[in-house]
Amino acid sequence: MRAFNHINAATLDGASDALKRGGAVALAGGGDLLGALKDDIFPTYPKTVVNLKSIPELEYITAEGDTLKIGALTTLADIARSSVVTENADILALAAGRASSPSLRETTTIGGNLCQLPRCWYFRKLNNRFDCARKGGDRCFAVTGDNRYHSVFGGAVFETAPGVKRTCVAVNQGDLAPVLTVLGAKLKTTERVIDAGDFFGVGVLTATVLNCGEILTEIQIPINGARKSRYKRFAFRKSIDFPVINLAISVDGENNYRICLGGVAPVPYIAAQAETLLAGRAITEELAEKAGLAAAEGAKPYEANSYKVQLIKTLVKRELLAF
Amino acid sequence: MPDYTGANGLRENFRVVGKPNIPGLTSYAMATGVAKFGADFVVPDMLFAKMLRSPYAHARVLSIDASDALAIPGVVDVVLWDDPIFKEIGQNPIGGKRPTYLMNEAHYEGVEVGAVVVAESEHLCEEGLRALKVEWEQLPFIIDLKQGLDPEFPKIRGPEWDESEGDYMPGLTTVDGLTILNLHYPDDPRKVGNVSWTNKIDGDMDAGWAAADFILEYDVNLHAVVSLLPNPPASVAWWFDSMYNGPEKNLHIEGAVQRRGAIATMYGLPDENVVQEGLFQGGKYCDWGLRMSQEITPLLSRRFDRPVRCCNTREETFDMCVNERLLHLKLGVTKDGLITAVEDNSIADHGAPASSEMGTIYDRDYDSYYTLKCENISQKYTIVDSNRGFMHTCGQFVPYNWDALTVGLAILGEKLGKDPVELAKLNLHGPDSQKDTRPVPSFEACLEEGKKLMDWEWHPAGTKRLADGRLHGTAFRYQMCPRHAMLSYFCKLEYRDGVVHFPTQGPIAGWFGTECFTMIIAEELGLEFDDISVDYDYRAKHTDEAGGSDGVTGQGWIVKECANLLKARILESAAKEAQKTTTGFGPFVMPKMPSPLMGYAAEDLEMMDGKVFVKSDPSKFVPFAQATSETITADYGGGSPKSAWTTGFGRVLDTMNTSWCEVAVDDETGEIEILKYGIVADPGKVIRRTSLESQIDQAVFFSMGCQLLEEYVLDPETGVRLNANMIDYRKPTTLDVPIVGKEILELRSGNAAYGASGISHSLANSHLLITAIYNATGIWIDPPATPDRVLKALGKC
Repeated sequence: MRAFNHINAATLDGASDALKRGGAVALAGGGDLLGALKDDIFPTYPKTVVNLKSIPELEYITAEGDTLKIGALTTLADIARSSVVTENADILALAAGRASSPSLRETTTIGGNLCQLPRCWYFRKLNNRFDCARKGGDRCFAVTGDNRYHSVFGGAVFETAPGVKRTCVAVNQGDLAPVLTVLGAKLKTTERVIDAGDFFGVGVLTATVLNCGEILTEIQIPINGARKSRYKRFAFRKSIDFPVINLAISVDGENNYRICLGGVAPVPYIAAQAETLLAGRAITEELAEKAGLAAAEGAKPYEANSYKVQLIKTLVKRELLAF
Repeated sequence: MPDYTGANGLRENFRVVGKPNIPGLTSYAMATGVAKFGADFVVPDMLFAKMLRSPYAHARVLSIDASDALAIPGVVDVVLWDDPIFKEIGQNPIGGKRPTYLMNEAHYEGVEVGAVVVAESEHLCEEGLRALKVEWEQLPFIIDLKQGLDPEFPKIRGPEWDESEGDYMPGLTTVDGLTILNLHYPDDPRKVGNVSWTNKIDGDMDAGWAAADFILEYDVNLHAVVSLLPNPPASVAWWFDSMYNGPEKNLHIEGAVQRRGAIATMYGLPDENVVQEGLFQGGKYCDWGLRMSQEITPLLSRRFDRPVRCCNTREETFDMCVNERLLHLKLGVTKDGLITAVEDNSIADHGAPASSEMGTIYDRDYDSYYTLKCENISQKYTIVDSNRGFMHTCGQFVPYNWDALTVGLAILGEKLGKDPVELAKLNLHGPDSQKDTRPVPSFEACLEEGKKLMDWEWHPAGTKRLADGRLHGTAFRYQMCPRHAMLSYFCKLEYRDGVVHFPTQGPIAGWFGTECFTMIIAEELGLEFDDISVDYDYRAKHTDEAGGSDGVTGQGWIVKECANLLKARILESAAKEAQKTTTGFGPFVMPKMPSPLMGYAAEDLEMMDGKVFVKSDPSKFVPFAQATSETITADYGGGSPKSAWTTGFGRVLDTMNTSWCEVAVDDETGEIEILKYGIVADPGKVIRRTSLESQIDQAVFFSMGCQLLEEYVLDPETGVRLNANMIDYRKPTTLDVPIVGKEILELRSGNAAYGASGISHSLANSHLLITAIYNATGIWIDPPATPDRVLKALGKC
């Protein structure tokens, strides 16, 4: 790891100012950032690391009225262990308890998990070996390279510079993103409140729509006693692995379904066609199967990742039948 | 043969040998973190070194401008490839040819090339490396073996890498002052382009085909598998003046490096001028797996007259232990299932230069085709140079051909509707030769126990579903316990001040045999494990030097003999001393209490439970520690007895093993679950049960990983390794590895101590689970059977 300035931020304003000065990155639990720094993957090495953990009162779990509130620096382990979370948003506890590994869950935070950069192996290769579009370069190497873990729903098009558009087919593999999306969570930042479904985005060195210096502070999840939900994580190993695909489904008392998939698109993918198909209907074997097909509708996989389409169909069907 | 010829070889009662959970001294060190590995050695005034690494799969460094690097305060020097320093080192005694220790040509992405930055800290080394202005010339590369077969493809290796310019001369040869282990046969075809060949034909292939009722053809493909070095490979070296060794400089080197004698050879020093005290290697396997960066610290230390440390990261040494190999098999078979001819046509990855030849050539003499009655065996190996990576131990973990045969038995079973177990029995030759039709006792015993362990019930492929809808598959595999113990061993023991001392260099090469040997010594002397003083000393002649666990047990035979020599001498001395009526000397002579052993000769005495006693009257004894006041030594050297039932090097049927598994295949997600994994192993005699069981667990870890998870991925466009880390390269975690059912048999037929043999790596396999998946689905899926590959094979995507 190279040398950098380390700032223990005392306040959100202070942290935000430091981040806006340029050449700075935010450190929450460090699960994502420290590996990136160690592997030297950035095109320009950050001059400053702004430690957010030193800001008080960003680590909490509380149910206030009809809202479950979680501080952005709350660790995944604390979320997984929390009876408040289990009672009000059980799939969040489940997803948090399966992310990463037991030791890393003790340090990694919900905020860091939501803001993590893509796991694409071209993006992550040591010493910035591939100057890819996601780093401001000209191309996405995965499009013609080994893309077995990449998007089946096309690439994200974004600007690498004013007027310069590029594509990236890396996926969002966070464990919590689909969960918060289907739970209708709102993400509070230092500047605004954003629906979870709108929080994720693709840009140069970012996987969110956060502005420069904008800091995620709180996750707000509506409490709904009539809501049922399920979470499925499909990974090759039982620990450590990021999910190849993960899936969250929620249904309210009137059979309105929310279905969101991770690992299949540059941002968490809402299976809108399946949701429409299921709206107001009771689940049957046939309907679940059709919903699986609908969830995969529009997929355009590469040869190496067409298995994800089969997984989408199967996992959606099985999880619906498991309600 | 079984240990008939040695002392107590047929011993029936064991007090120490075979016991589980006896930790050794080094076990405590490792468990508590006291153990020092290469990266843990830090000495005062130490410099650091880091090597430039290639970002390209194949490239040449045309020039390096180091001026910016040298301008960084704390950067001491940048040593370039053409510096004469690199001529000051001898050839690495093990491994492939290596013209010089640092070159300006990189043969794979990530290899050390061109320059070494020496600085006051590791960070400054890295800063210096980033400041180098390197002019690269990118060169054609091969990462696809089939592309490498094209004779028109540009040669990726220069003539300096050809094994020999003249006739192939098997064995050690010297070319340009470099010692090379040449494993080609004299009449092997000469190299063309990037391809070389080696062929071996036994028996009469025409007759074999003529005797067959049909031909069975199949492919067994194995992908590259990465080794897992548990510690960062590092070395620290410094030179010093010794008050013992005269004017010559002495070298102290620690870390994951060659053992002391090899280091001495490389640097032209007498052994006694090399100090290597650390017991724990960590960053290498056996004598293999060393990188240039682990071996040149003495050179740099000599130049800068300060200690120098060089530590690699995991990604920098993410090397292969198994190379890619594509086997096409043809079996001639009678309608009853008897194999009459075997033709193995393999394409093997030769890897980057300096890779081991073990996985490309060596295995042809050393595989389970020779367990068959069939004597008509053709092996034609096509070996392709590549830029895929460095393979230091290929062939050592997975004997490819071993699974090629048992895969064939499974496919044959499906074709004939017969249990592969029965086909294995039909085809296995008898104990003495390939013409011997008698059953093999160890094999028969392993089969019977295995069937019981697994409730074995074979079914044709694709015919059984579990209650939850998943497909069910089974597989079986057998193997002989291999034999590497061809070395000559040495042991010295000393009885001093009432304590038995066992001086040893310890596990410097990565084997942990000391505990086994200590158990044997204790057993033979009637003592407890903790009674033996293990004196770790880098100058001791004895080391845990073996060649797999069968070597450990082979060496154990030497230790056993040595212990019995010591025992005889102690008893002789005890009997002699018991006759004395006085003690002291000169004017200090005093009367001595009569010894209970007085009047008895050595042959009347025995030792057990920490006592030396009279055989005919055990109530007459002296404590072992007071048996004699003399210092007594014994040493013994040589090899263990010859194996029984051997038909050639590495081919022995005295001790065998079987592996079994059941899997469930989810044909909608491609997920594989191991329902049962069973091992029945006959190591002849268990010496240290904990080691044996750990070795079995490790073998299953390897087997499961390479068949279900691990895959070495290279970018097709650049040849860059995409997953050289522990996140993207999926070694199994403890949650993934199945619980292994183990049955250990002791038929006492091995050629080492007490009829032991050691199982070595014979239980590590490349296709047992794959074969079970085939039995479940009826479709062959090359490893790793990850969900994506399974779904593709099943036509689901």
